[in-house]
Amino acid sequence: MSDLLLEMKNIYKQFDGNYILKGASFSLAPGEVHAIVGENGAGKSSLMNILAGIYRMDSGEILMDGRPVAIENAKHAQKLGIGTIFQNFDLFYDMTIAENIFINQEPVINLGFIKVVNWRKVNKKAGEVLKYLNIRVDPKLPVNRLDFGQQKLIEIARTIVNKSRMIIMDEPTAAFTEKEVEFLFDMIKNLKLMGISVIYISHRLKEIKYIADRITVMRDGKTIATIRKDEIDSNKLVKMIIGDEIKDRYPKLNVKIGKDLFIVKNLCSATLLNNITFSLRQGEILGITGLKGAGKSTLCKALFGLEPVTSGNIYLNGKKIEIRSTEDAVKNGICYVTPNRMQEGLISQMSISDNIIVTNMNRIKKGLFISPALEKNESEKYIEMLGIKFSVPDCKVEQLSGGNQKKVILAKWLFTSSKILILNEPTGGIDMSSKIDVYNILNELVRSGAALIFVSSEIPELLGLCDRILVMHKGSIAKEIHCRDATQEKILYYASGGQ
Amino acid sequence: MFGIQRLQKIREIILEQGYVDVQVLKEKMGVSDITIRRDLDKLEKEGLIIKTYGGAVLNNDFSSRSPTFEGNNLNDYDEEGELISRIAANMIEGEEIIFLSGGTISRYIARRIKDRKKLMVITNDIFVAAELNSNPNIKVTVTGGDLVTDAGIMVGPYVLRMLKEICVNKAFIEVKGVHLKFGYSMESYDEVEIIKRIIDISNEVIALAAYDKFGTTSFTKLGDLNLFKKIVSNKEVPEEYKRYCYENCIKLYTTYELQ
Repeated sequence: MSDLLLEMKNIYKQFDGNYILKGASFSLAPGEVHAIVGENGAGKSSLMNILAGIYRMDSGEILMDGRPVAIENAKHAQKLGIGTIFQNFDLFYDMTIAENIFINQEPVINLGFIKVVNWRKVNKKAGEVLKYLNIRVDPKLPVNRLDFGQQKLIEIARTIVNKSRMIIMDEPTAAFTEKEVEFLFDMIKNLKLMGISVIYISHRLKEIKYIADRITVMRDGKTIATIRKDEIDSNKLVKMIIGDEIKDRYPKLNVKIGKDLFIVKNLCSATLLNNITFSLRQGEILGITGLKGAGKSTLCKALFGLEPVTSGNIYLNGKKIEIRSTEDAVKNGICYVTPNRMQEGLISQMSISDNIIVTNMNRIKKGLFISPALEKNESEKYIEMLGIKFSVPDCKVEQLSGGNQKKVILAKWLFTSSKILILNEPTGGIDMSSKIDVYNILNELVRSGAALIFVSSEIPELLGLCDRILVMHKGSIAKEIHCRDATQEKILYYASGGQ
Repeated sequence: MFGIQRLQKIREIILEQGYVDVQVLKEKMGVSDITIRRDLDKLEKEGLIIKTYGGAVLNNDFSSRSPTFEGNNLNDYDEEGELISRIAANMIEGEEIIFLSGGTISRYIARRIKDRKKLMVITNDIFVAAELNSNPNIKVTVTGGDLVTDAGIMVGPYVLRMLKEICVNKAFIEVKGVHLKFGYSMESYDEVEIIKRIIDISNEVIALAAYDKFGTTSFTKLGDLNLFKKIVSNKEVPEEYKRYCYENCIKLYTTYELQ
């Protein structure tokens, strides 16, 4: 018998032939806070998704209390006492705090064939849990009345009610204020006293050094090392995360950079953005990075008219422009390649051709009507131009591979002859061969005089492809670095709040 | 039918008949008329044809125009090679010593950089030298050696001796075969010998290969697939090679023609 609560041994997992986990191992003692660190794509979240029953592993072994378990699905994981606090919210906003905490676990009055929820008991019990966790809110309030940090704490309260023995926290403090972080840490200490273990995924080394008992470093789908609290050395840790070799696989083409094309001055939004100022030059690839919640996506949306702006000015070719809607943005030659292919970028049930031409119907009109022949010709041209591969003619975009879907999004914006492209995680979740294609398409775009804003959380990719990098932190630009002076360490330093 | 084959077919037709018709070509090739029109655009750029309404006619100037050297096979337009030369030319930044190995792509590169300044070009290809012949701002050095008949490329001990005494910033090497298992290959042992010497004396070596060279082998092995850290090719490179490059940190540049 082992006295470990959890052991994961030699876990492998692949998607489409790409291994994202290559023999990862991890263990957890009762009442332990065990942090997992690593770059984006190192496999942290994938390993946790296997533990939480969201993915199934291809091979490997999971033991709880020394006995092998086969985690079938998320519900089964919960039953085994594995609670998860996701990166995204998982609460029902219109319901009360108490309802959210006790969802699926409501104390019921059994009237034989019908079960009635005993709301008085729910509220009372929720009050007790909240008090125990030192969260001072009224359980009868709807969740949407709470601020961001408090909502996360409610999620934690729920996992406790679900009798979790361990709680996975995937970047819980991404958008927390300092006070909320302190509060969370008090809560984690409480959990420890209750004998509940915490798996803590974060990029913030400072926090980890403070709260973790042990740290496991992941890189390229493998667990590189596990170290004890007293062995932690920040420099060594960063080196372990990054690895020795510089991974320069990015076909960067040095294009002659022209004059300022697009200037943003003192841009603010109601929610997050604070005094954003930068310029983008012709032929340039400008990288933007930052931790989760730093405001990268919000900035993209603001520049594309999807996020209301409270103050600030935008200039194109020296002329002031207003971007209040996506129509304004497109009219000015600005386009946005979204990170989620299906949710925002493409219409999944439509054909490749329809998706390409949807942004500029005027180009395929003959007189007042759309000319099917012209549509076919034009879309065929773009399909050939970008090398979009499909198995059946006229197939819907949802049938394409991730990489080819990305190319359809690019095609549709090329079709509008955009000159400023905002690309948000353009290589996220696509296969290696498509990544190479995307990099080279970007090269050709800047070679032909376009200017690109390249948002990515993969720092090596930015270092390999960009001319300059803006590092964001809490809605502001913390630092602008020229690529020739940039290192991964420097970027991580400014991204996590260094001055 | 691939793009190159189609272009070649159109060339044959036009040289035989003196004219082509878009509708007829479209049916013959089984492609859309936009594709045919794009092909005709390319042939017009080459100077072979003049476009007319609904088709094109042979440009009579074309046959009478004399190339700088007989047999400079750039007259057989090679689209893939031409596209590759654009990226390669972009890698040449001026005030450096470059080496262009023998081959079609190298000749296109020479054509692209012939207006540059403060450049030194070393080559074992007489057609590369011919392209750069008229520019006093580029210093051209030909290696010397024995001419391979009909190829315009020089090989042999004289080349090796000459390459002993120089160093090169960037060398562009046109390879004849790229294969996952057999690595890079060239047509003859003589060429391999020269390329190996070039690799020794160069700061950076860049491989050039049209996409149809991937998955094929030529007569003599030059080295394993990780020999070059940069490769320039076309977007049609097979996926397994793209994956290999990504995994092994080889920078693979591919051509895209976007308007």
